[in-house]
Amino acid sequence: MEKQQLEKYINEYGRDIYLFCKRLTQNKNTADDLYQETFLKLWELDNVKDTENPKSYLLGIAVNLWKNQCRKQMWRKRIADIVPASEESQIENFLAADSVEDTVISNQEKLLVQNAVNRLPEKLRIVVLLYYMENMKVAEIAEQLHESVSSIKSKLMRARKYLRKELEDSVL
Amino acid sequence: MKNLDDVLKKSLTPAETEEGPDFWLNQNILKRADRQEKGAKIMRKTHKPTKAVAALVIALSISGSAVFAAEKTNLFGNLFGETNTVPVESYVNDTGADENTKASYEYQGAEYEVQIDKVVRSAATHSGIMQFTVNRVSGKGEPWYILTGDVLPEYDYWTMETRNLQEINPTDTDVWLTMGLESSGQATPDWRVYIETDVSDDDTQVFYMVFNLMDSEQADAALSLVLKELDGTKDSKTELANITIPESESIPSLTWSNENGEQQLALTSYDMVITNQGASDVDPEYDEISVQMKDGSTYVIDSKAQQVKNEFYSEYSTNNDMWIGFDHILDLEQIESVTINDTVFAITDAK
Repeated sequence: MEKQQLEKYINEYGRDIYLFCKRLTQNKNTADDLYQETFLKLWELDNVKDTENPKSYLLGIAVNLWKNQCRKQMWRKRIADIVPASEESQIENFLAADSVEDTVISNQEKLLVQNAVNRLPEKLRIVVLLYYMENMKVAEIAEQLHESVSSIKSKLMRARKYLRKELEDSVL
Repeated sequence: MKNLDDVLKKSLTPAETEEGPDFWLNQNILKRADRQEKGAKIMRKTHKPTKAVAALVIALSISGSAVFAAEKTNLFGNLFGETNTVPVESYVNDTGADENTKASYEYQGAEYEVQIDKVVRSAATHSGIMQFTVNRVSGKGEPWYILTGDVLPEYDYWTMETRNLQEINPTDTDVWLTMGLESSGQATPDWRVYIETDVSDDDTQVFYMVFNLMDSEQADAALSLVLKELDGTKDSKTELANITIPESESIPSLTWSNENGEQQLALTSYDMVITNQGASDVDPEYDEISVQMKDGSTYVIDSKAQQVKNEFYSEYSTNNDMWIGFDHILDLEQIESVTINDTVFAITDAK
């Protein structure tokens, strides 16, 4: 890959990938690391020029790097040592973002939804983030995660079932 | 009643006001890409990326007999601590006050002394566990450097990075201290490492390093613990300390071989290697792996279905061999078989 192309991808997709990394890791410092490693992995790969959807490809890299790192206790321990963003700061973020007047869902409700998603098992959470946050199609997710379409559908179904139960009294 | 899909979409879609990456992050990516292009590529690891076999299980729970639950403590404490009553005790090389396992160095104006305390090695799984201590001799009161847990494959293979607490964001003015292993007189072998700190205070830090050399052609070569200081561009390295890891007798192992006599499973008290050369009879893509004991009890090492994860680290090699480190010591004398998914392997071949 040419360096100009790397720079182009950073400019075009950097923000989306970074915000996804933040949601995925739930920690800014860890997101910073994962974000950098994602683009450096892209830089290392030779076959990227043929990809039709660079953003999906980058999201796939981020997820796979994250899953690999999660398997390593050293990374896990590091995460455990870092105090996660407090609920207060999360609320502040949502309040700051609450500029759309026709928001049907209150910021407090969004926070409840986010926290419920964060409590999902990792493999379900990843699929939910890719599907709802990144608007990826089931087939795209399956391709990037090297899983079958039916497996992704099954995970989405299980996640929905869990989230419906979690949110039925507070949000839905 | 709100629509769940709609709620999820609106709640998870980032707000326009959410900030993207800091400027320095993007600059850092481009700088690191530059460095790789200039020559660091030859140092890049060639192993296949680890495959995620099991989902992350946050809670490390214990499954199996009550005996194991009672024994469950820190692996390193079991191995190197005073309470070590397991059969591998005699295979731990306690270096004591051996001057050959000690070195002094200076880093950021302070003097330090590093000492390899204890080592245990396994020839069957090409692995080892080492305890070493870093003592601060001078410069007391200054911040300690911390272990970040990151590996930096673009520098030395899997050299662990340590950096001063004040240097959270790497810049060109940073000076980094790295810890790593080297094979004496040879280029860096392809090794993997897990490292963590334990008992530490203002003047002392105790480190545990677990290493395996599955991919290395020099799996049995002498190794050194090497500390290096990197300059701002990370292009030049000054060696601060180099200590040869003392020899130690290999701990016992159990193995399982197929009909053709090809060894496909090796098990020690703290780790396991599933070989995947050619048409393997043992599936390294496991969902569940457990050990059956002679008393009829079962110890589950990893299980997706039961959400049990009693391994502390695992990784694939280039050949897709799977290395699994356990989170506590097993008594090999009591083991009858290993079950991977639904296949039982009677590993009675004690070595």
